[in-house]
Amino acid sequence: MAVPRSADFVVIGSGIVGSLVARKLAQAGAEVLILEAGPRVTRGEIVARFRNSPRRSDWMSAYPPAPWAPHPIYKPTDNNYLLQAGPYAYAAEYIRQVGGTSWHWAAHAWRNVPNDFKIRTLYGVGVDWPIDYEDLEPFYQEAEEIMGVSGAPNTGSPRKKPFPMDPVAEPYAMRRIRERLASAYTVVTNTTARNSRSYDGRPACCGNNSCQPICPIDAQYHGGLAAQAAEAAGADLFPNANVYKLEHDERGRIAAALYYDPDKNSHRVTGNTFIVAANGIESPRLLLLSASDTFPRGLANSSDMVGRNLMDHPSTSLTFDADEDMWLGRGPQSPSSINSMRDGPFRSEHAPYRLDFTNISRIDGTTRELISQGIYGSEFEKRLRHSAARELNVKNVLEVLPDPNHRIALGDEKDAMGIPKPQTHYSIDGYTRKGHERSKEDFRRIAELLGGSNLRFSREGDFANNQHICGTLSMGHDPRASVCDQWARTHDHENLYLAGTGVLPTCGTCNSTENAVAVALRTAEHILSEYGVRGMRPSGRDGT
Amino acid sequence: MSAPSHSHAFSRRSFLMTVALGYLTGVAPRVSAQTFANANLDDFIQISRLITGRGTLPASQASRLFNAMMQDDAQLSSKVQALLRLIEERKLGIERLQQSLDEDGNALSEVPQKIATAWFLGVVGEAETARCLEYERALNAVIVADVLMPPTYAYGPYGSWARKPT
Amino acid sequence: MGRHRPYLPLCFLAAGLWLADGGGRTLAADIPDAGLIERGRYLAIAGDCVACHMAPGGKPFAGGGALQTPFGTILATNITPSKTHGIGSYTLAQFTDAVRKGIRADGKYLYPAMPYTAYALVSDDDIGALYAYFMRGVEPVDEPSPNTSLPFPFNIRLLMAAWNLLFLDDTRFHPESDKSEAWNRGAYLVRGLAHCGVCHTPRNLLMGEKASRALGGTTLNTWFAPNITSDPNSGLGSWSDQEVVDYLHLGHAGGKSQAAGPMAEAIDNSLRHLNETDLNAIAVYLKTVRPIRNDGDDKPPFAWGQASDELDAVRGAPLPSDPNQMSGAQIYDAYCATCHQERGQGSFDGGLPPLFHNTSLGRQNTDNVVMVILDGVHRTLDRPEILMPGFARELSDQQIATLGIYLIEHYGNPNARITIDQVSQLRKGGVSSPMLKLFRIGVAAGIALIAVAAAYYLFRWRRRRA
Repeated sequence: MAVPRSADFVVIGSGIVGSLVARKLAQAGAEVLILEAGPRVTRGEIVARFRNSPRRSDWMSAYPPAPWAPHPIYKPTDNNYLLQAGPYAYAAEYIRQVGGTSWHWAAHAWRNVPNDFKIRTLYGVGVDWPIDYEDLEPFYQEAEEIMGVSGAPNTGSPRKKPFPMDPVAEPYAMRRIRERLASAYTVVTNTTARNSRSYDGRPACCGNNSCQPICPIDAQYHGGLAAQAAEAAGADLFPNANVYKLEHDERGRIAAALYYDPDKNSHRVTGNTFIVAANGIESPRLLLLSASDTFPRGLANSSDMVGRNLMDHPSTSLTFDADEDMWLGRGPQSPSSINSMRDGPFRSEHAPYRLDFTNISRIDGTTRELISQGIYGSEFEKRLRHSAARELNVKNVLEVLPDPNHRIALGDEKDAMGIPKPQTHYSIDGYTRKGHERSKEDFRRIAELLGGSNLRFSREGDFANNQHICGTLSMGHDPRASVCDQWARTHDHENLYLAGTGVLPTCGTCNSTENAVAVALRTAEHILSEYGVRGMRPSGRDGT
Repeated sequence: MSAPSHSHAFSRRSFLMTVALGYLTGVAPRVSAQTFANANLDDFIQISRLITGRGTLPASQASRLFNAMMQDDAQLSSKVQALLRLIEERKLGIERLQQSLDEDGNALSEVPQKIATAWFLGVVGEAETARCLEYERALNAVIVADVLMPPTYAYGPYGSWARKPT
Repeated sequence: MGRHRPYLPLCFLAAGLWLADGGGRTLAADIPDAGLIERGRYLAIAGDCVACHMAPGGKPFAGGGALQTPFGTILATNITPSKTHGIGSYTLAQFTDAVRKGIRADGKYLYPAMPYTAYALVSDDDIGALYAYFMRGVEPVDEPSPNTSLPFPFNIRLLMAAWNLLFLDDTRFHPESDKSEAWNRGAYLVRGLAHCGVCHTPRNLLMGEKASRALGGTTLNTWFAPNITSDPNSGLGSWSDQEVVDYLHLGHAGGKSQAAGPMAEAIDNSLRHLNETDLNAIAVYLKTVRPIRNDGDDKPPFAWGQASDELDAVRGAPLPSDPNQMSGAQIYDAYCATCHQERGQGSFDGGLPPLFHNTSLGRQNTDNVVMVILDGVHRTLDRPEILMPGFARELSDQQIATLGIYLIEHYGNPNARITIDQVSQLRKGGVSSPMLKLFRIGVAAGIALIAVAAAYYLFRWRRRRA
């Protein structure tokens, strides 16, 4: 492709959200250009890298960053790209390549429950969304039909039309868990973008048990497929284009995107409408980097909310040995969960949560553990088999409330391209910690019902990051308290839209992708119905 | 399986004797690197059998892992020999090996872990120099191969994971 | 999958189909005909009429299915009992002539893409049942099917009269009294309704079947229809009857062989619905077809290969920056080992099949290896459904050739060849046939010859007169 110059729509970021927005616009006949910082990658090489990795439990080892588009790497040494100002680390992993981070996900595709949209009104915590469940419902359905989503009915999210396919077959281990917990808990099949039959030319799941970091057969949907679909619909995708600044004109309209190629030559692309979809950290970073004399705090930031209200779904967990053979590692990695604590009056006191049962193979982790303990010989074999057969793990997925002190800012250090690195300011507050405390009761009860022994709680005070980067570009009605409106149009710039998990003003208890995709599809539809396939052109140039 | 057999020690002594005799008589056998390596490979296989708890190990895999470990540490071979001697002296069972080495802060204490990592995990080296030599044939996959496929390999056609593993 | 006996569900399926169709077409006063119509439906399935006479996603028997030939695309017609656009006005005699002689009710000739040379064997009773089915068991579709228009001179249907003189044997099937009932039934089906030779018998320049090479295997432009004579190495001689039956009914004979491409369609639309007696009969007959040995076949195609890998060369080796430089072992690791496993051994119960001892990789003709890699295998009637994705998009011609060679070296016949040119030809839809050009040159040459001869004799006649 020739070096791009301009397009009606310029989408920055080719992850699942950016690509699906681009696809929808292109399908309607719009001229769309996607600029992606990272390179194209093939699925085959990711599979090969995983198998050849000396650190297979470090899933990012299959995704080495391109030098011109760095992303955070923590092992074997921290590459110090995502600066941590603390007090609690926000050690998110994400991927800058065509298709983005969801090459490597467990395909959870839950909708919010209706009350998630108004926790301020109902429970006096957090904020209300500027839209409610009904507004988003048709776009949830659209997202599910694009991605091929299936799940158990009645998990708290009402639907008007059925899932496009039946739920994925339940692994034996999960069946046993479900049966033995039935007296106290309802264990359901997860709502996932994973095929239970061939869909869209892609096969049904074959139990590769490597959803993270890669599904070798594309049985689960991911951003790589979305990027492909966007191109098939007519969008132009230009990789290795690290957008480092957005330029505006004298009226505050965004006029151009500037990007570096891998040799650090700067290029300029103009457009009518700009959509920033570069994940919940890189997007606010770009807006802050685009500060100018007119906008000294960065673009879209009259509220000073860009980058603020950083949220995630932290996790704590319990690992234990069941009293019967279960054999995790057969089937998809994340098949089942308990959804009873996603909502309720307790939300005014402590964080709600989902409880996820893992089906990730124990083998690599237990092997490392045993070797570190100096266990060898036939004892090693015995213990490895025992762990593989009996070990179970349940983790929570906790809600975090928006707090403007938790944020993404620009750090003092610069990355390999001379661009200020992103920096996180984060902590885990009492609301979430109390949720964690409450969930430990569930952990104990679950272990008890499964005859659990050798209980190992995650270390007290440790909260694992789940890479659900929300809040940093929050949508809202009030321009003083939010970055964009209900259509994800920035309050400050009429032709600048935002797409991705960053626009979600609260994170609820479900993995953020489905929410982000649905909101973005609604944005795309709004743009098309309001402005047509050329988007909103500057006034004076379309005859007005 | 808790101590090297006497026949092994005998063969090592007899080899050295042969070499010495060869030099004395001027008919030194060609002590090629290959011959030397073979003797050391035998030691490596010997210690590997102890650490893995397996009576037989694939020769080509042993050779690959040994060569890779030697690249990282040219002293490995003599360390292995020292370890074998120590095991014999202290009459150590494999279950006591690491503890015994750690107790007296022995310089050899990292050797069993490296060998275990090579065989069980298929990985040689550490941190930035770590590299994978085996995945499917790493012993941790072999040990559970009757029930599990290594991740990224399909378990079977759709739904095959629903039934109870036999 | 696996060697299960599905005949009980098959009976339920047949009953279900019968009931379903009975529901769709109320027979009113024709209750005594219901058995005849049902028999006709079964025979129409055996003849696989729907394979051509239905477009993808179209209505049954409403036409539109396309057959690519060296002369152009031939489109099958609407054979529903529509009075306006189908065969609703056909008498039994007209129907019979169309099916057996390739002559339409309006007297025009059909192209032999309609396999009337095979259907000529069909008995009067069976023709009658087929007629009853098509007239009363099929929903009429009052929509036109697209017309076939071949380039000159093949648009002159009258030429088929000449072709029929050469290649149509308009005689019914005569059972051989010294053969078993099963053999005769098998011969009747294979040579007749199931028209196996139409794909599996090579053709001469005029597109007539070469009788001397009956069922000896031939290319269908991309896919290769193999030798199914009784030869133990080149054909089915080393298969058990049950394996043949399994293949025709399930689409696979254990790990030995799996149907793909057009054969998979034939099985899904037609052969899997035949009853056990008929499938056995076909197996019995095929095992007696005059054996044809292809040069160089010194063992059966499923006897090649073994579990093997090149993990030593792949584990710990970085991928080249140019994907076209990937080794066969690396491509296999990145794309194929996931399902077929690292040694080609397949999944636990063979549900994802092993690659060695598999006819797909053991043949000398390697077109099907390339076609399966390009197109994959997709069969929706099984549960769980069978889907091997195609890799036409993921892999370049070079990569497919490299991979193909790796596969046949490790798991198949290492004497066979796969080339990049072969892959790129097959990807484009096969070698374009010179048939049309040759024919036109031939006709032009013929006309030129006649013109020269006429001029010469005219010249001589004038000279004689002078």
